[in-house]
Amino acid sequence: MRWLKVYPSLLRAYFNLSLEYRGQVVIWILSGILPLIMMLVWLSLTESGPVQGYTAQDFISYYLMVILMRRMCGVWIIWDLNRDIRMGNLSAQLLRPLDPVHLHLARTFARHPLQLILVGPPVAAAAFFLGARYAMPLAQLPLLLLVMLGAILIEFFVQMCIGALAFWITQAIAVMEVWFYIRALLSGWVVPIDLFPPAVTAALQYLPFRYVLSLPLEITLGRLTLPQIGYGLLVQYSWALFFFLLYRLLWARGIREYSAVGA
Amino acid sequence: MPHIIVEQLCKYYQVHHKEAGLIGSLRAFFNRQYRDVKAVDDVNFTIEAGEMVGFLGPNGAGKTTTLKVLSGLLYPTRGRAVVLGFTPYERKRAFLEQFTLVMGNKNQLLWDLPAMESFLVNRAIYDIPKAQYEATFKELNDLLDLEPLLKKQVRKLSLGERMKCELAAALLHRPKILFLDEPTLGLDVTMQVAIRNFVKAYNQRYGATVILTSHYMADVTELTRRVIVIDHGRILYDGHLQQLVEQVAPYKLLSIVMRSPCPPEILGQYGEVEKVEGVKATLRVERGRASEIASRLLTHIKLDDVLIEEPPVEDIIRQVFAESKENRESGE
Repeated sequence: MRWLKVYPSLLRAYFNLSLEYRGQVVIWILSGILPLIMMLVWLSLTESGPVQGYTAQDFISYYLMVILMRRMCGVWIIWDLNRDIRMGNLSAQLLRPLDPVHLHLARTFARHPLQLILVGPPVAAAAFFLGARYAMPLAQLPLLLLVMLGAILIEFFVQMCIGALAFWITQAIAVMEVWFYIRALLSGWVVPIDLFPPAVTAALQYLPFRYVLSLPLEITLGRLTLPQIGYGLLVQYSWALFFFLLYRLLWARGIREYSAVGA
Repeated sequence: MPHIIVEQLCKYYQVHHKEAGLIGSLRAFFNRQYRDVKAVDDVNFTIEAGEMVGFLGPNGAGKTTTLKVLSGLLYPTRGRAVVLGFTPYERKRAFLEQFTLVMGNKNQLLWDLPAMESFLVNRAIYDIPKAQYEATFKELNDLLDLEPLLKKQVRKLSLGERMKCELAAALLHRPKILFLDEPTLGLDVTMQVAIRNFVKAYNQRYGATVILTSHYMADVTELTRRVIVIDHGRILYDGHLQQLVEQVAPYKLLSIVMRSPCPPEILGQYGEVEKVEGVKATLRVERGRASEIASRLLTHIKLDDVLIEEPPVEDIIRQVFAESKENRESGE
């Protein structure tokens, strides 16, 4: 557990790095406006009455929170990871007595404060003026944070797995695209998952997608009871564990490959 | 006990062959042709604690591959390497804490942040106690004059400034072994000398073992007495640079400046004439008789100046490689 001691330094350095890239972050945030467009689409549909129980206010509340949660549960390591492996920066990392996963994990968490500062106020203002409503009891806040952490961990280890493919194939980023699109569709980013056909919604309870975005959204909207959250946490952390183990396996194999063919 | 032991080390790569163009790509896709490349082929040497050794060899000779095996980035195909009693590729923490690899063509610092940030991260990663960190930092700062560089983003530093920071970052944990792969690559002469002096000082101060590869012969002749000459993955020579010079070049060069020009035929009586330019001439003479011939020249021809020189090491190394190539070709 001595690597824990490294985190303050890593988080500080990577937070400074995120400030260095603040312009880029703003552009990213602005480019992620698809949820707003979807919101407008749904709003025009609700003019003739609620859609499957969703009122205009429900859609506004939902999509504003999508924007915030996407920033707070997002992970953006795949490009760094891919470049490190393919360009040989990984060699330098392997020479130091610290597993490179900690670099990526620290970088992930170090990004969130800036995201919150940039996205939090506008979303809060919009929520206030548009009359969004979040019915989550305050007592569920610790659970919400735990669920957000779980969401980050799933996405993080998925990206570590896909990134590790770069040990064998040059187009790991293309695989990432597939994950991005499927996740965008099925995680609740574009469409609330309970608007899918019931069979799909039911299946999504067991697949990982709901747990990287929709679950924390559902909690903030006050839709889940404590037992439901508990069950969600169980499934969510099981997926996190699954992808963690898969990453360990792929990474160990990949390093062996890397050490065999060189970089 | 030696710091580094290398026994019958082999590292072969499988590379696949691909012809240029679309047809070549398609053919490679369906029917990959593999071929073994012997990057390191039965290499043996040991290096004692505190020794400085230069690896000499052309591009692709196996120098970097050897360093990568020694630092645990590559598995050997056969044979073994033992560094400080560790098997490098196991990458045990206790091993990683005791050496460093600096590659002149790779950046190991956080590119968009001032170098100081990388130093602090390394301090945490190597778990360096505060007092020791401060002492080491002060020493490195004295030797490399880092202070003015530390607050600038790494990407804004010049190549030489960046290399200073690279070296400092790589040495904060006071490694016992330094692998320096082309540390002066692309640097101007002043900066080369600065880096060279620094490596020398570090070696003396900490008794560190150093393996150095470089294209600049001066790096090697200045820093190391022992050289290992590698070509095509094999060791051609391992020993003192001076002995190599004597072995390969059994001659010395006499550079003379004459009062008045003298015909080459007359100079030819003293040794093989390399060149004559007006009153300046260079003669190649038998190593053992150099001073005797010089004094004969002085008595028979009016000279302003005479200098006995070793042939340039570059020439000698080139000769070694040329001979090895000939041997290979005649063997095939």
